[in-house]
Amino acid sequence: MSDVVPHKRSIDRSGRLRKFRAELKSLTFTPHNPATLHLSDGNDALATCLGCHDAPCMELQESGFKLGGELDAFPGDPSRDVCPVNAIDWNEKGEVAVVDSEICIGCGICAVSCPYGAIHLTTEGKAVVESIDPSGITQPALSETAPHVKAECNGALGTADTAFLKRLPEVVASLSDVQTTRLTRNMFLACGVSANMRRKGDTNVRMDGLLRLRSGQIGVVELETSPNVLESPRALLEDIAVLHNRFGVPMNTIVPVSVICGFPNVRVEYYQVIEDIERVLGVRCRSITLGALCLLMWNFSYLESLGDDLFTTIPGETDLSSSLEKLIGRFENDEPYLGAFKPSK
Amino acid sequence: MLRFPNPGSTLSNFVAVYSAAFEKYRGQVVDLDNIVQATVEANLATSSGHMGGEAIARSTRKDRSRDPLYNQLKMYAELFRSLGWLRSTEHSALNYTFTLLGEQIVAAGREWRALLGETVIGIAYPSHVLDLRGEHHIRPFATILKTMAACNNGLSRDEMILGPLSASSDRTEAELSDIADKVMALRERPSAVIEALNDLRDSRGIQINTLKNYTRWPLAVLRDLGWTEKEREPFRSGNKTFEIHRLTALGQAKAESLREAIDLRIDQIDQLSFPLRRALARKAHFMMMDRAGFDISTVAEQLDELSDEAKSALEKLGIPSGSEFLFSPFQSLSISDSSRIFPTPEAPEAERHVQDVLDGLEVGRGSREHLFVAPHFVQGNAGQDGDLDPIRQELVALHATHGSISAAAREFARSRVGDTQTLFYPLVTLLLRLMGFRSDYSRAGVNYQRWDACVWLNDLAVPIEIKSPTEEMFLSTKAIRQAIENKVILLSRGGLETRREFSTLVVGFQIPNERGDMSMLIDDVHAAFGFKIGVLDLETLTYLAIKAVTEGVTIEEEQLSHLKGFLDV
Repeated sequence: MSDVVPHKRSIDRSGRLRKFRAELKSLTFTPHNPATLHLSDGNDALATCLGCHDAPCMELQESGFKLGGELDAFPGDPSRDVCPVNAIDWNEKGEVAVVDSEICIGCGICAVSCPYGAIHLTTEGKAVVESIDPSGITQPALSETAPHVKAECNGALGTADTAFLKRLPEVVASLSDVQTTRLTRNMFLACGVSANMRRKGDTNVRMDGLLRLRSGQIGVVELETSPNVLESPRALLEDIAVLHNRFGVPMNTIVPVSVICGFPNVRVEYYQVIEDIERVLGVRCRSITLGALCLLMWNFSYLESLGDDLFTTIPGETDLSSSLEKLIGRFENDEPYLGAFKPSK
Repeated sequence: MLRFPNPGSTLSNFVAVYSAAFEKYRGQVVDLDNIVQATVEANLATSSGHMGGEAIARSTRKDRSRDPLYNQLKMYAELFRSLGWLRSTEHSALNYTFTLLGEQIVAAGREWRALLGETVIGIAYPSHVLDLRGEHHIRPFATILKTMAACNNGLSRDEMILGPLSASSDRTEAELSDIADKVMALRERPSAVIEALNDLRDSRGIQINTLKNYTRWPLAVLRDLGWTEKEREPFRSGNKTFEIHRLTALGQAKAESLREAIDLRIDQIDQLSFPLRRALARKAHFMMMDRAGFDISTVAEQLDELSDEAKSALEKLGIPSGSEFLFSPFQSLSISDSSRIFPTPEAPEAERHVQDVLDGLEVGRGSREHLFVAPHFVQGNAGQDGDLDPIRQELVALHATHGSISAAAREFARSRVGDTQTLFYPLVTLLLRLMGFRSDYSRAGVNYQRWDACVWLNDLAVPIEIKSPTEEMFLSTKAIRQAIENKVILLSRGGLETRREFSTLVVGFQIPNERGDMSMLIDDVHAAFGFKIGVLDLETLTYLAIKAVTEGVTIEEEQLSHLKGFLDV
């Protein structure tokens, strides 16, 4: 007999513990409230955890990291954790997900990853799993192994006033490098972008991360969360050269992306250097703040392509609001923190 | 001193490397090359700027001590052995099989932290698993945690080196207390730590930076398991503080549980007969599993059957039945004992591919010879300006003394090893002017000119990125990166007449021996943007200047203005 023993928290079942009594058609999210489900029998109900064995709120699908071709060998962070700070886990019985509110930073990646809207962000900025089926719409379903429903999501998980976004620079400053990298990667994944970010300590591959957008564009990422972002465009040039020459990615499919916490002061040369690069090399560098990325994610907006007019910077006129408007559709132009959409004067 | 290698300090990666090797080769005998293969296939290792199979091809070389991937995985393997996840075969220390304990780490999935915590506590010296240089009777992680608890709940990195990791024994309360006393004495004033580190360096012949590197992995373990977090602690005298790794509530609870547990060492276990050793080892292993959150109900029956023998073993060792005790069989017992006590089917050897690579043409792949360019000399007039006189005289004198240009250039470069930017930047322009070219350096505060200096070749400006020896003793890819930006800004903002096809130069004190990274990047930049990057070190530049002064020849202007790669004299 084998001496191998199972872990008490390993989920050795397949499928979900519960299922809805009627087919899920769509979900509506209202900031700081549980989501509403719209079912095929015409009823609306409050969302609840179904106890999915594959726990999409906790564990990412490996396919999300796939960049295609030679880029699949990119030495990314191997962690498949959805939560950048490991705040979500099964309850003791392994039946529903629970969030440790002491650890949770309120980014909401777990909430947008749940196909059934069972997680929402509270006004205090913590993720909460609805586990008691308040509307009584589920029934036991141990044999429920059907693939996850991809229901349409409407509304938003949070706004510019929601705690995480409001305090994003402080939250990010409190995270380790590994956690910040994971937060960034997982937000891109939640926005429908295949993403892989460099494993900490691997200095052999230059770029911090790679993205594959549905348009076929390959985003090359430099992540810089400190105010000193001037190094980022310079590093992107190096990344482009490596990506093109060593990994055979055509120049016209490469999109350089600086992921930053916030824009530096308008007088910082960052904007001028980006303009120089475009003028001389015809390469348009994009700047995405973590705040903008978070708003996209909270509004269930997919970043399918980085068109010429998205996330660009223009000396003296930089403002990501227009990019967000194009992608989100409706958008209250409130900057959650200084530098989230535009440089301070 | 106890030395922990540091193959990487993110524990999730560490566990992922083991899991990748296990998943690919479970049930087989593997060597380091197999582990390299599995790790690279799982995208967990890269080499020489490449990933995937190309990384292995570029790393593998006949002199295995110079093979970066092989050596990195050797460090991983050493730690996996210490943790009892991997064991050497009885025939070869460099052939391994995966253990039951390692299989449990993989089976834990996302819940690996508790078992990793058990296995780091399970490291105890001496053991039959690892040979250790020097005489140590110590359970390092338990002693680190207990010492932290006794020292205001924390230790600095240096205190860890000088205290628990340098202790010869932690077997008695008095010895533990001595370690804590030694640490507390170091907190009197900053110089106490510095003096103690210098003493340790002198007595062991190990550089202080190397001593510090040995603590990287233990510190990462303590941090990633949530046992410590960084804080500041004041020295007792003066106002200075130091960084301390302070026990969290979880770390304090762990330290407390260790204080209460009975610590069994291999010399005690060796006193037992094999049946008693077997019973105690199996009990200890499953107790560990239980503490780490595993469900041991499936083995309850066999534990019951062994309970009498396990009880006898404990009685023989004078340990009250029911006590918690620390003993990790896979980390302590001989290979033969652990194989008999936890039998596994005979393991076949995993397929070996590396010899094909070693025998093939792929070794040393990626020749960069085309980037080493010999200068073409032409007749030229050395710079005659009066401000060049002192340096001209110095070079002429050195040439006369040493008898050859090479030796004089080497000596001149050596004499500038301490130069800061304010001396080095003008020096570069002086040498270029001696070669007969117009050159000037950028004054501090002129922000729109990002380059550090310029040289005019065929009347057109070529930007120069300079790294003084006090900034970088050896040039790095950072300088290459800045040279690209210099070119972009010069072309974009104008001000100086130039041409796109002209080089952008880098001058530094020395070019690193390992030039792979820089040279690949030079090719990458040329392929992507068409920019040529030329690199010179101070000795080369001085050689050219002496040649101009003493022989009236200088490097061809056309060649220098279009230089791509390293000028090689």
